[in-house]
Amino acid sequence: MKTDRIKSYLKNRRNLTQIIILAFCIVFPFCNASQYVYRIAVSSVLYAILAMSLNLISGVCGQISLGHIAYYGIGAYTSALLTVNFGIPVWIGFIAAFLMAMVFGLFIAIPTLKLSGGYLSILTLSFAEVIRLILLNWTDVTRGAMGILNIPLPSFFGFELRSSNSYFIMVALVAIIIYIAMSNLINSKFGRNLKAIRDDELSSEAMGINIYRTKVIAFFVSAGIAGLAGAFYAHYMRFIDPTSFISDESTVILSMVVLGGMGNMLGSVLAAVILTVLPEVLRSFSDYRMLVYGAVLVVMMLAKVTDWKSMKRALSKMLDFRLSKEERA
Amino acid sequence: MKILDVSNLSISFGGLKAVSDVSFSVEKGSITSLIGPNGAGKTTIFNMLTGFYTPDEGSIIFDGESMVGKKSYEFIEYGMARTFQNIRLYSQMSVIENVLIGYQCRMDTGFFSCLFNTRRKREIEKAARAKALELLKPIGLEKMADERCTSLPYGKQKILEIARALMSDPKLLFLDEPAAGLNPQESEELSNFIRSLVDQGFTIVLIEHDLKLVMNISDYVYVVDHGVKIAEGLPADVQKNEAVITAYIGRGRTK
Ligand SMILES: Nc1ncnc2c1ncn2[C@@H]1O[C@H](COP(=O)(O)OP(=O)(O)OP(=O)(O)O)[C@@H](O)[C@H]1O
Ligand SMILES: [Mg+2]
Repeated sequence: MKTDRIKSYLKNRRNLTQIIILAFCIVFPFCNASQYVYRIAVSSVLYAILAMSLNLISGVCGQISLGHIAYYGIGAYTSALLTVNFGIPVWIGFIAAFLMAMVFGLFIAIPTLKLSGGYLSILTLSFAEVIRLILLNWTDVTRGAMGILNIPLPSFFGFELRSSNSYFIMVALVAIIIYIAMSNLINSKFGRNLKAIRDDELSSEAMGINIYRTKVIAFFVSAGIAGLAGAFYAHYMRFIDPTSFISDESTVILSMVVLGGMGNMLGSVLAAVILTVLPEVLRSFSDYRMLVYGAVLVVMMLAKVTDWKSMKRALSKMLDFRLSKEERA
Repeated sequence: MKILDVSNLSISFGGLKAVSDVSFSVEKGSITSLIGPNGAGKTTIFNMLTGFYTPDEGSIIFDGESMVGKKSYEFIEYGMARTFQNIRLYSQMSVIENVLIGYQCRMDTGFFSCLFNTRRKREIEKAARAKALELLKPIGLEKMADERCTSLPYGKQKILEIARALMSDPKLLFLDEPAAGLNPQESEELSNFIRSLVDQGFTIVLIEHDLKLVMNISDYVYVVDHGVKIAEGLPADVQKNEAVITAYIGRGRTK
């Protein structure tokens, strides 16, 4: 009976993919691959975390944010500055990054989430640009374009995460926890509220959903997670400067969410991995690189991972500049 | 017993007085209909009664509670649920998920119990699903529970929207033109469904252009035109009322 249960569990494509990814995360750190390969793996995981966090607000709830990289940057700088300047333990830096990004998320969410989608996308985009300019120009604190050097490595129980594979274990573990938490959220009352808001705000209101509050909570959580990813990035690279937090990165993360399917967390993870690994693999193709890259994207779309209809809907939300509730009704 | 008591309700948009000085009440366990030509202000009245518009003047007493000034998302918790004139289902969600949304206001699961998938959350979720399936059974949608709601035929979608509102165990149900756009057969199915709701003890306020349906199932009828109440009474009396006939036929505005 038990084997039957396992069999039917694995028949589901989603379950199977989850198991494969999990198995990979367990085996991979012991594979003795080169540091270069592990570096790409860590980078993939960080993008996966970012894509999942953005998916919560943009995919599940339909609130398109074009400045998600800002929270990543805020998290990275928060943890880096605290640990470098005040010598506090790195794990406290991680928590601080999470909280600081949340605060900024709230700061941007509160004034914008009552407006329609168009204003949200413009404001998040400009907010990210403001953050980047602050990082670049507030040289007394951020050291501007020179960046922050010698960011300490995290260590747990006296064991320093010096190698890329041990770092991979840490970020993969956190990513898995985040994945589980996100899946729980999606399959619960809270997640259903988010989806309802995405599909129809007016009837959601009639069904008793406090739209504003729900959106703010989602934004809050999403920003915090992105901040945490930023801190992971800072302590991994051990050097950060504002060039890592440009708007193009926000677009990359959003395209991961779109390609993986709006609201589909597993899709986000896969898209993040593919879009990170692919450019590296394609280096050897030199001239044909973009061609192959494009072909892979088309395959992903045709494989129905990408949901065109929801993408179209998201796009129309981004361009929605109606002001009042009555107008939107 | 009166469950809803509305007096002197007025609202204007810019210079247009959409509803002026409308008063009416709803008896518990009855079907009360609101009729009137296109643009008479019926939907606007509904929007005020469910918190979407704030009336300029007037009072709304529901079950002893004054509802004016309350937030629109609070109404369902007090026991007022509604449907919309144009179907407003959640297009990307399944049939059962749509119905479950109607129960969100009764589900006591906070953010953290959702995040950690606690046992209590799982139990509440399970009970909600059972209740939703129970509701889908009599309308013949139990087997389609996991399909996208947009794959249902139009008539079923209209009924599904009512089921979503019913999920909240409303004390008062507002239906805005449930029969609009239905073919005769679907319309028949719908009126049977509404009748079954009354048998179960629901109180309903109905906006409807299908006068045959209205006269068949209503206990009491109010007629508005140009934002003003022009008549009220039992269906048979309203049908004979001069003012009503002029409003409908006099200007050739019959549906
Ligand atoms: N938000 C709004 N802003 C401006 N005018 C409005 C608004 N809502 C309604 N109106 C106007 O109020 C009047 C009444 O409209 P309402 O939708 O209530 O009519 P109705 O009786 O429901 O008609 P129908 O049978 O066509 O649904 C119309 O003239 C309409 O244009
Ligand atoms: Mg109307």
